[in-house]
Amino acid sequence: MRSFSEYNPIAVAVWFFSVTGVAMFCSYPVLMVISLAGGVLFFLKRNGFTHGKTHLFFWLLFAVLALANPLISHNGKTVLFVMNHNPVTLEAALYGVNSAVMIIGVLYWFRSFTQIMTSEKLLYITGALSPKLSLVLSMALRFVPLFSRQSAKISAAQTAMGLYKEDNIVDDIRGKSRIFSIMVTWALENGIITADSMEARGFGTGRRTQLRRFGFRTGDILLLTATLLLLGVTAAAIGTGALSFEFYPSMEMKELTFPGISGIISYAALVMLPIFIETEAELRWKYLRSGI
Amino acid sequence: MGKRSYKNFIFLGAAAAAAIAVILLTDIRSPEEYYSGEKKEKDNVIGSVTMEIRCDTIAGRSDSEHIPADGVILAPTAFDIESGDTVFDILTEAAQTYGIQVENKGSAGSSHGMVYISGINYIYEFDFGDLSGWVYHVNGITPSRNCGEYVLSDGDRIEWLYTCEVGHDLNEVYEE
Repeated sequence: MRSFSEYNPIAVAVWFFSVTGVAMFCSYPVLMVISLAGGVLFFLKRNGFTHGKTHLFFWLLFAVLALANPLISHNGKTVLFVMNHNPVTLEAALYGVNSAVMIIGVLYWFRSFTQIMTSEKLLYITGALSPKLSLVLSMALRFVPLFSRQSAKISAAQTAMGLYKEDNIVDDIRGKSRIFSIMVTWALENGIITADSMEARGFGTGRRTQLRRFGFRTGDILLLTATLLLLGVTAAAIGTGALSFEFYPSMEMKELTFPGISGIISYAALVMLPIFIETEAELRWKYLRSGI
Repeated sequence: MGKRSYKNFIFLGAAAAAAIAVILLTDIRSPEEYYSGEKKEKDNVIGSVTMEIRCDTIAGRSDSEHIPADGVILAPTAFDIESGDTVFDILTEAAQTYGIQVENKGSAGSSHGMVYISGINYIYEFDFGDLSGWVYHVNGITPSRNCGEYVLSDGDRIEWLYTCEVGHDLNEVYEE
């Protein structure tokens, strides 16, 4: 009885990249909708109804992406209206919606990914592959919060010096771009200093050790095999062309055959795996507590 | 308003002007109106030109229903021209009159039109390799100008041709 985030990072990462990989390298509408629905459900399952700003940003982005395609691409047979001698078509609009579903779905998955895969777990995975990569990753991950802290400091210093205190948009933009320029200079210098300092303290002279140990248990093996099996069925269905959908010039869907249907079902199962695991853990926890 | 700076209004004004410009430069028409099939009425006709659209280089190379077997999308057809009409104007007129799908990129309609034709009749650039796309010849000569810049004169013969090798698989003759 473990929640999904407690599984071995390797199994979790393989699962994540299977789900997002299929979503990114295939454009079959049914799979895209499954991916988006699964991504939203998983995020809600983990976070409840918090993170309103994230949802708002994602759905605004969804609208922009869906609307942008018919304005840029004019292929397609069903003309809705003609704008500046270019036809705006239904096919291009639906293609835009489909790619927006794909992108927003993947963004939801990666939002959950960054919550589950803490830097410690990422280092555990990449450390086995290459210690250098792991070092670069750990420094890059540390840089994001460091960057925002430092820019707040610079901004405070600039305000204290009496710069950009007027309330107007032009000055705001100028001040922000100045802070950004200072930040870049500082970041480059800081990178060199950090590298020198680490070398001076003996980084890379011995074997890297982990703070936490991650065992590889039966549950992890089960998760890994289930992931690879379901991914295999889905990839086979996509690879053989059983799941193909043409948008241009007119929408054509290949009739669904057995491999196609099994591909869709196995992708849905793959997406639902962690939700099953979390629900099972939750139910068993409640059951055990009721017995006390 | 208190101490609000005048610079705020400059910014808002610029944003509003950009929005108004976008709305004014957008010309939206319904498909029934655009592809009406009626010949455009012209007042000051200074002559006529012929235009044809062909894709001989790819005829029979794909089972797409949009590539005619003989490669002729538009047989040589006569169009009246007014003074200042460009190749792009005649192509859009043909698209409207004969219901041919045309996709252009760039700013059409201005006096210095920078127009690129990326697709005609659902056949697009790069559909047949990295060097494929639509080019045009006038009187058998390959102009080195975009089609929104080429001003036509009486008796000109326009050909729109699909190439798979940036024009080298067509009979290219460059202008002096």
